[in-house]
Amino acid sequence: MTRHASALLLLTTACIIPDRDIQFEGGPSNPGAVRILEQPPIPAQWTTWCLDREFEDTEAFCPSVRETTRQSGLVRADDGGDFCVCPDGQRDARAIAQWTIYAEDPDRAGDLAADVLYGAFMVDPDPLSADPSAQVAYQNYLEPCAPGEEIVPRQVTRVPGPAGDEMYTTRVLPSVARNEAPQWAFTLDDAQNDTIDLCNDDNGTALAPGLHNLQFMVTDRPFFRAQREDGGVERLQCGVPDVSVGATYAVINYVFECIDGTLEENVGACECEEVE
Amino acid sequence: MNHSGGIVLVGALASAAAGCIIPDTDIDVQPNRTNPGTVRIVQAVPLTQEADDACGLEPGLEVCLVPPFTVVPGLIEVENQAFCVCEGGRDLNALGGFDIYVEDPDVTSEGDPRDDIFGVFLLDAPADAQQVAPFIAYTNFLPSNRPAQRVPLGGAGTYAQPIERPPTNLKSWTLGIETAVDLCNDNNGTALEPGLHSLRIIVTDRPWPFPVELGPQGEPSVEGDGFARDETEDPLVGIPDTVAGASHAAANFVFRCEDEASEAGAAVCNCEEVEG
Repeated sequence: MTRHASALLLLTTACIIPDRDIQFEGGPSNPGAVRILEQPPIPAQWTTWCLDREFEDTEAFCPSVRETTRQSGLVRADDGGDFCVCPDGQRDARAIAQWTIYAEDPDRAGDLAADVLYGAFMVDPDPLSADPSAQVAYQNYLEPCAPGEEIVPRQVTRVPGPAGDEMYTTRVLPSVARNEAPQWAFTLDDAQNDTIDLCNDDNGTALAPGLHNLQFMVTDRPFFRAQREDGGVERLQCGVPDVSVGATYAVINYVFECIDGTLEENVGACECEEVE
Repeated sequence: MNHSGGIVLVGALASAAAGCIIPDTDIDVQPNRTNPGTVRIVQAVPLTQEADDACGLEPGLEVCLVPPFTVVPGLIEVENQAFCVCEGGRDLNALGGFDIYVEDPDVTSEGDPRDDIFGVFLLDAPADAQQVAPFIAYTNFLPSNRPAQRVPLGGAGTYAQPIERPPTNLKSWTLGIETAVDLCNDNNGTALEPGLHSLRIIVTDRPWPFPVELGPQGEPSVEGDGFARDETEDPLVGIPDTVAGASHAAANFVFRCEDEASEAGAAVCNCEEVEG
């Protein structure tokens, strides 16, 4: 009887396992939302502690997000001058350097990213537009609605130090507070001129003088494609996230002003140059 | 041991051993993450009729579920109107009250939103600013210690529960509901300089951090699993506590303030004198 009791006790306790740290997958097909990454303000002291090898266990002071060369918001020329719409055959000598936008999505399938991120630029998006794809812009600098480039979230670079040891120059590490999320990069670049001429080269077309809003949208499902009644697929509606299949999206805005360099009164303020 | 007792014990042991062989399908053992979900600033975007129709195929839905419409980040510009610096007065073209929406997926075991979300505005802060205190602005509209409030959306069929996504836990701050948001004249009672301005909002899912206490070598002072904080100092408002695992997000509003006293301003401004 004692043996039977022991056996029963063993049976009843054998499968009591703590559920701490166990997550059951399932439910919504898109649990994690996409977001665009920009470094927050970081005190200089934290940066020092992150990079200085003399201090131990200071990884928590390192940023978890890469530094972008161009922060969103108001975009000005590097020399503080004006961007200009130039006369035909000219481009803006103050055109800015290419830059990269980073985004992440936490969804994983094992060790791999579960989602692919897609991005597109739109200029002067109208919040009430019935056809957002008409505002897709700068296809010459970024293929619209194409996948980004998946990148390694960690970024660590070292250089030889004065004492022969190695010094960190960059150290971007994932936060210990959450799982490392797959990241993607979207780079605006122009193979021809090396710079981004916002006022004169929206896919070969100049913008109207004035203030403009350049919006980047990223989403974790391919952009929407409508089904035709005959079962076929209509054109891609670039710039329209496919919310019907659970897509999430995020946007970021760059605002810039173009003054009219074709006016005599603005010639002195502009730096237009002939296109080679 | 008699024969039958031995069989029972062996059977019990076999059952016990087999009882804990459980399939690992759908089980994902992860480290203890203190802040698994990240905060996001969210906004509605325009969709096409076809995209809404696709969402309408979902039972109970007629259109896609997106956050409520509001003043969205980017260029704030109203056609044929201008925001103006009004000498001794207020701008009748000022924005009416509006909401800023945020969401964070972390929930308690009861399913309630777990994290408080805090936000702060920075006005015309350089991208590389490490001291953000001088740029903190408009705390009369958004106090930095006021957490976002949950938006009572309802349940299924609302943005509280979008297609194929977990609950959004949507929260918001409502700005200027009683006073309007006079960006050019009421930065905590102070008027701005005429010109273009960039207003960045930073949000985070942890309270603004207190400074880290220093050890004898100027190193960060360790306390328990984290770092000791000097709570006699003011918190570092505007700096997300990434050291403690905070996540963060940012968005930018750009606007122009015309000068009522200028020739151009006289034609477009709509100022009202304020008594007293």
